[in-house]
Amino acid sequence: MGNRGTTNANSKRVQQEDVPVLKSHNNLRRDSLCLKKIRGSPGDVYSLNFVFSCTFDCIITIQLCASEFRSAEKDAPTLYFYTPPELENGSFQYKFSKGAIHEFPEKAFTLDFNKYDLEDMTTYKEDEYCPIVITIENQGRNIPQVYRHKCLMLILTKNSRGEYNILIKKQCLLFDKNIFKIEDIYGFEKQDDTGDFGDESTKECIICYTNTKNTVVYPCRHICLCNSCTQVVRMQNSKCPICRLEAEKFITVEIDKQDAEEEVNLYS
Amino acid sequence: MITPRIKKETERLSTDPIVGIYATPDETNFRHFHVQISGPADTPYNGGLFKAELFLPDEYPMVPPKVLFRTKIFHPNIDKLGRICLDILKKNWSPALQIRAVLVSIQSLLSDANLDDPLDEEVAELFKTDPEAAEEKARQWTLDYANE
Ligand SMILES: [Zn+2]
Ligand SMILES: [Zn+2]
Repeated sequence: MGNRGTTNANSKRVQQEDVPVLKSHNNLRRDSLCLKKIRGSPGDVYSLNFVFSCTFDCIITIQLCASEFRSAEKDAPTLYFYTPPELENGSFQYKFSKGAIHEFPEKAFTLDFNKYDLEDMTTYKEDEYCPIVITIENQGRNIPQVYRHKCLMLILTKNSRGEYNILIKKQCLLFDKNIFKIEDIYGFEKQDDTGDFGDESTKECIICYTNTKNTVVYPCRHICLCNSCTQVVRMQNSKCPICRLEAEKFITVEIDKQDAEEEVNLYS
Repeated sequence: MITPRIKKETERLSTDPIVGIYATPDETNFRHFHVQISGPADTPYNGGLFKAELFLPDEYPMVPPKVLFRTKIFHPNIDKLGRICLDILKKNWSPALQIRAVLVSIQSLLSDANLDDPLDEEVAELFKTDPEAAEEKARQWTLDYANE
């Protein structure tokens, strides 16, 4: 540690940075997010479904055709979204009490594609416009002051068979006067379908098989190395051991050993 | 001192062996493995048992293991000195790979020779121009040298 690399003309060494990992209190399971066609309904009506867990009671807001605003106020930067008021079903709220696995109720939020312009639902303009925004806001007492809310920005896609699909374009978190963009890192995936996380080896550095891995290779975002092996890779060839892509930088994240098996998000 | 990685890899090779491959560490040197690979079915090497030596350099796993065939074999990617031409033993090595991956790749090299990147031009030439004669020769060598 403390061995921050610098990039300069004479050195092939790739930069290494340390960033903390923030723990998210709300997790929407990415693989659970889907649109289900409602049978028997006239036209193209879909129900938005997902599975979700939260440490506190929370309110989920779903907004359509949302314009994004960020206030630049120094002490209280915020991120909010506006939905055109004339849009039917354009903004919708749902309350959840804290719990491990919630299923967002089927048909609680429906999308009737006859009522929207397909283009409005499939285009995304970063920092400006998003077709669907899900905001998860913690409610009640005992919420850590620093933690506020999380936004998921989604778009729709339509395949050649005319089926709609949903994609997460971006995730943001408001935390302690900052807006963080959430990035996924790869390397803590479940090893099997039993619901358990893999054995020790998913947490271990793939080079020394000894230390806990804590360094993410960019741009491929594979987490596979420990600190000391990162030094060796940087000296040697600076390629990601997993995919062999040339590394641009290495980012060390602080991973709570006990939490290493939880979904780990990297914020920058 | 044996590194935790080499220790774990060695243990796994014995608890969870690869079908058709026997790798045993040398009694005096944990970086040296005595390897035996049985010739895959449906190849001219079928029935043969091919001996090889595998060495883990000090820099392993940052550099690939070194592997040498000790049994004579008629194969376009293995030369008279037992050297093997295999991408993951050279430029395509990654420290994410293991001894296991190397041995499995060598085994599949016996089934699927790479004629575009031969180590022994003459052998490769025969496999290209007269595959039947080449296979017959490979079969004969297997009988003569890999039949213990
Ligand atoms: Zn390591
Ligand atoms: Zn990678």
